[in-house]
Amino acid sequence: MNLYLENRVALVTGGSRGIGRAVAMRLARAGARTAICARSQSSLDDALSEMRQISPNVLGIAADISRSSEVEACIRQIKDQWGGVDILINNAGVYQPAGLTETTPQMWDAQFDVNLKGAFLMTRAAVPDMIERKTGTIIFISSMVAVMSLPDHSCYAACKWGMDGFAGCIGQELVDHGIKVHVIRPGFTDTSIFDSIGGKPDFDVDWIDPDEIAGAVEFLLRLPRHAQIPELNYTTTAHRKTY
Amino acid sequence: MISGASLGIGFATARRLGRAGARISICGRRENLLHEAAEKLRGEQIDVLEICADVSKEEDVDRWFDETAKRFGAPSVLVNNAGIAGIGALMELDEAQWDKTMRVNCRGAFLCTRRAAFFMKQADRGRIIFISSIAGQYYRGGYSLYFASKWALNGFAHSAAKELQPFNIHVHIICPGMTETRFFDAYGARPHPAEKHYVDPDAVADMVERFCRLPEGVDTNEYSIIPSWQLKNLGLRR
Repeated sequence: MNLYLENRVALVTGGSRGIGRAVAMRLARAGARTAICARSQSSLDDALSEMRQISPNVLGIAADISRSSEVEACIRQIKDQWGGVDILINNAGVYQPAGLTETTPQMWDAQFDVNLKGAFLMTRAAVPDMIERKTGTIIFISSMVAVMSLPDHSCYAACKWGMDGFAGCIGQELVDHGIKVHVIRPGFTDTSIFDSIGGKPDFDVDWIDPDEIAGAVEFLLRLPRHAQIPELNYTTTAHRKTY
Repeated sequence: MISGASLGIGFATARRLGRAGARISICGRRENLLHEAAEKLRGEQIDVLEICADVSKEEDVDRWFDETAKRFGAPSVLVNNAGIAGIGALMELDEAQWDKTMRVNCRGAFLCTRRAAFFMKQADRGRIIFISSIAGQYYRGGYSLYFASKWALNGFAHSAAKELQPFNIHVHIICPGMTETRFFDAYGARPHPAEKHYVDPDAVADMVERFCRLPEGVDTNEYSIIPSWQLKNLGLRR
């Protein structure tokens, strides 16, 4: 059990699948009290049953993170059970790539509400306890799309560029409160996020395993207090040529 | 077509392009201010249509485009200028303020760009110019919402640029620094009162006009225009 993670309180948004689930598993294994939230109760139950095999200190909360009332209730429930959140992983994401003229306002809102507003609401709700205790870590799971631009991703790219801008600003704002803010930008990662487009695209790349990204999260969380790694790009060999 | 053209950079742009001979369609939320702006332009013999519209609302954007197409035909230039401030430390921001800023600054630009792209794809030509901000180019504590909205806008605009290039639609992004506009009304005061020099909105409008005059086969993507004292804020990242 590690000194830095044991018994710390962590929340992973979108923690029932993909990168979020891999991160939650890592944190539970490291001894952190780990909460996950997701919209669907059934996917939460599935992830929780796996996590419980590792640790008894796990919690699943059904919440739509684009609604401030649900976000605040989620943070309150964790606080009542374990105390304030020490580690917030803003991971939840909606991916609906489409050409600009095929992107409907509903698709725009669905992505902005979860990817960007959800991260804002969660951060805002978790930060007061961190400020009070003068410690805390917030990690944003962004995307390599945040440092690129590409066709058919104008809305998703907007969300991820926006997330980077938000994270960069609050990183500066919160540093004097002892709160660390990191951004991780995964490249092509093999997760169910591609279910929205009928499965993983047929790219000739070495797909990243979600547990690799979880490893990067754990690495950041185990850094010495003074060490700042504001941004971490985690991509693949093929991707390196275009970035 | 210029959004948010009652005042500031939007109005200066409408005047520049109108003086250059373009037919001008402007929109804004506040009817009185919009009408005043249109009358000023008419006073300069500019052919102008003004539509009271909130760019964050789909039905308003549709009406603006439909009325413009009816009067002038398909648009050849769209200037996504409408924008609002949303300033405050993280804990001072609320959900309503977040929604309002993101809806105008990002969703509004998306709705207008999407409608313009329908017309411009058919015409196989067009130009879309985003008035963004250097707030989309660096980070600053205490400004997370406004900066996030402009980072998002830049991400959207750059992606749209790549997607629309095969259709001969040019996308340009202008990132002004501190500009002498009513934008600062939202702060209550200018954030840098000691600095005498702010960018003249007409200097930004001048850039828009230059972009509109670029020859075939030539492109620009992101341009900053700032008062010299603000140079320290540029290029901190990327």
